[in-house]
Amino acid sequence: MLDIGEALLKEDDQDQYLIDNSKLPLSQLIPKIVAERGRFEDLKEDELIDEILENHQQPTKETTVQEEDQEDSESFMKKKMEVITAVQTALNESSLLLDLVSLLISCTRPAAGSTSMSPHLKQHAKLGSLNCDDISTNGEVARLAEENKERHSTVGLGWKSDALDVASKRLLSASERLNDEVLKEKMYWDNILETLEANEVLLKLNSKGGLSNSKEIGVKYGFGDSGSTYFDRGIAILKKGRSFGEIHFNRINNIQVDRDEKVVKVSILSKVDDEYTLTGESNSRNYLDKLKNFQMNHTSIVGEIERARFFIFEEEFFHQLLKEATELISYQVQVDGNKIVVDLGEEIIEIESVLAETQLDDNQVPHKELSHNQRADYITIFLRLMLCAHFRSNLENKRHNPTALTVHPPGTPKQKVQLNLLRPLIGNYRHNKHLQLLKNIIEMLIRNIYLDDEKVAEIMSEHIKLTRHLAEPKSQKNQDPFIRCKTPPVSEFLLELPSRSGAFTLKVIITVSATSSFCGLQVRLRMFKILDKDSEMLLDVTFSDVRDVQDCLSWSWNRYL
Amino acid sequence: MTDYSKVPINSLESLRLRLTQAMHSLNKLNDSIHQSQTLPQWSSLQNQLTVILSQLTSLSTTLETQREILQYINVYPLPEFPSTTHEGLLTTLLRKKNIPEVSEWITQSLEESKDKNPSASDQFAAWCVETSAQESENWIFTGFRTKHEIDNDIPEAPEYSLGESTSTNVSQGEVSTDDLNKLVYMGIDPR
Repeated sequence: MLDIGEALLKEDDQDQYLIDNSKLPLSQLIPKIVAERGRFEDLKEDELIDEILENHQQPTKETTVQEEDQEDSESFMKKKMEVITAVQTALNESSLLLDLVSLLISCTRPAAGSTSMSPHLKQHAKLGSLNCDDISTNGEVARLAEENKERHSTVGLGWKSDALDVASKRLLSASERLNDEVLKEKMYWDNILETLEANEVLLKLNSKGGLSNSKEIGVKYGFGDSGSTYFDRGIAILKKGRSFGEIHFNRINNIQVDRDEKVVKVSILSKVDDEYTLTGESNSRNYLDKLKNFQMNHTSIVGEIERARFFIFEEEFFHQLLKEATELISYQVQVDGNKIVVDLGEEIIEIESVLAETQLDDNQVPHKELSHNQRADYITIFLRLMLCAHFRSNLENKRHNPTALTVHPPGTPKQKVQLNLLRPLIGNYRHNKHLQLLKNIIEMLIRNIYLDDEKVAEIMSEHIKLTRHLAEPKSQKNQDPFIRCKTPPVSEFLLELPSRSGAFTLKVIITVSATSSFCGLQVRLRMFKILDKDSEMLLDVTFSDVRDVQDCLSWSWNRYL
Repeated sequence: MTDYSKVPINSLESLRLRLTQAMHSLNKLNDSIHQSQTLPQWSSLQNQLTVILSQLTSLSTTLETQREILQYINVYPLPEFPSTTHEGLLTTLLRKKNIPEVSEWITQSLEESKDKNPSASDQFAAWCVETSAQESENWIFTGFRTKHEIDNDIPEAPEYSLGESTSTNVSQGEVSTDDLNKLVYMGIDPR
């Protein structure tokens, strides 16, 4: 009976996570082939033939497995037939005995006898048609019975020893199997404990695709609970290996995407002689080396989880950058294939997702010493930090009390936290550029008015004050380290210019702010005439272009000063 | 009027009862095996086998206790039995010879036990029973503690014990997260 049980167990011995190529529909199969082998044009018949021949030389193992399977199923059927015959023989014999006993009983108790009689007997034999006599007085029978008694006990002996043999063998093999199982379980649970000790989040998962409705242990390696809105929440099943109980890390995701391990790389191109040349490259090797070290210092499963976590972050990171970049087309941000190109006028920042392997290969990509390397590194760090800040805002947003339904009638999309990775970078860059430009303009205009170099120098150093980061809420500064990056920059020029006659002072306040999208420009110009503590407002205008500010300043100063 | 006084009704009746039970179980097993190409769940097979075995044991015990009576009776057909038309049926019913499989089985066993001492074997069997009972005692334990921990009365490691968790560091008047969850999901008021 146990043999059959074992044979049964083997039936569902197939990994449900393996994808059978031959069962894929053509629409999925072709992209898969292309992904594995490159373009169809590049495939050569000779190479394919070689490969097929190579494959043909090693199928021996597979066929033996198949043969074994066949043998297994044959022996299973044979055993099953044996069991069936045995059961039927037993049935037959006991049915005959029951018939005999029932017929004999029916002589005095016809009702009782007829209930347990087989229909066949009932049909052909009359109730009470058997009788019996006591033959105990017959010495011959008694002697025979005595002989038989001894024989019976010897028969039992043989069966007993037989049964003991079988039982001991069974117990032995069962204990061996149990031992194996215990070792497997131990290995698996040791790994699980290690994972738990590494502070990973474990969860219960329903086994997918299998026949059984079993539960599996999963691990959350991604950022689904950390505020990420990425489609892949980063959940994997920790599956137990069938042969050794080793732990397997199987990602689950709803959409089949190609899982190349990629890192985000930033390059800076500067304009030299009207041509852009590469002046800085971020170094992703640090990250990869760190990851490698981590994997070397930890057990394989913890290392594997960490690796998956690193790459799912990079994957989402680039995905979010791409998403944001597509909205910034009006600010000279282009998405070109798998590359984001941010045109800042003097410089171009290129962000791309490159294969991790190529970054580790020295021969392929030598890391050059370039002047802006560090800046490129800072940019990647900044962008990564901003994604973390975004996650945090998402989490905070979730924590808010739900708004009443009347405020947002059903159907209106829930307010989402705006994704700000590239915007603050571009916004602050532009803001600084605008400030520099305005400063140059102011200096030029002052030079035009006062003419005297000394006076100009004095005014530039003493009567012009630049205050930055005005929009930053001071109270929150300690709470949120990202507050400066999350608020559009606002700066203010305060100018106190004595009139040429010296009779009054002209107070000019120029507030330079970015629009809520960070990248637009807004300049508010206010001008007061200050005479003996009395101030009179002369101007309060808002511009969206630096050149307009220049025209306005030039006109007003010529008129008032 | 036929004299049925020699028919050992009580012995036969107890036999009939055991036989009916055994037949019922065998029939059930037969049906469940035939149901599909594969076999039923091994646990259900095992259960059925255990039931059948215990019924066969009780049948043979009954036979053993009634042996004194049953082995000295001789069954014969009365004239009412259609022995001319159904001779086959009669001989089948009154057959005392074992079927070939069983005789072969018995011969084999006899062959095997030729040079064995019955009394030693009984001792050995007793030892086997005792040892296996003891062994199973050694290995059957439940709960989250190991055998070693149970025997030496080592308490469960705190990280695996359920219940009392982090609610200790809650000051007066506050409600711990656990209690709050209990209130929300189970409606248990912690106060």
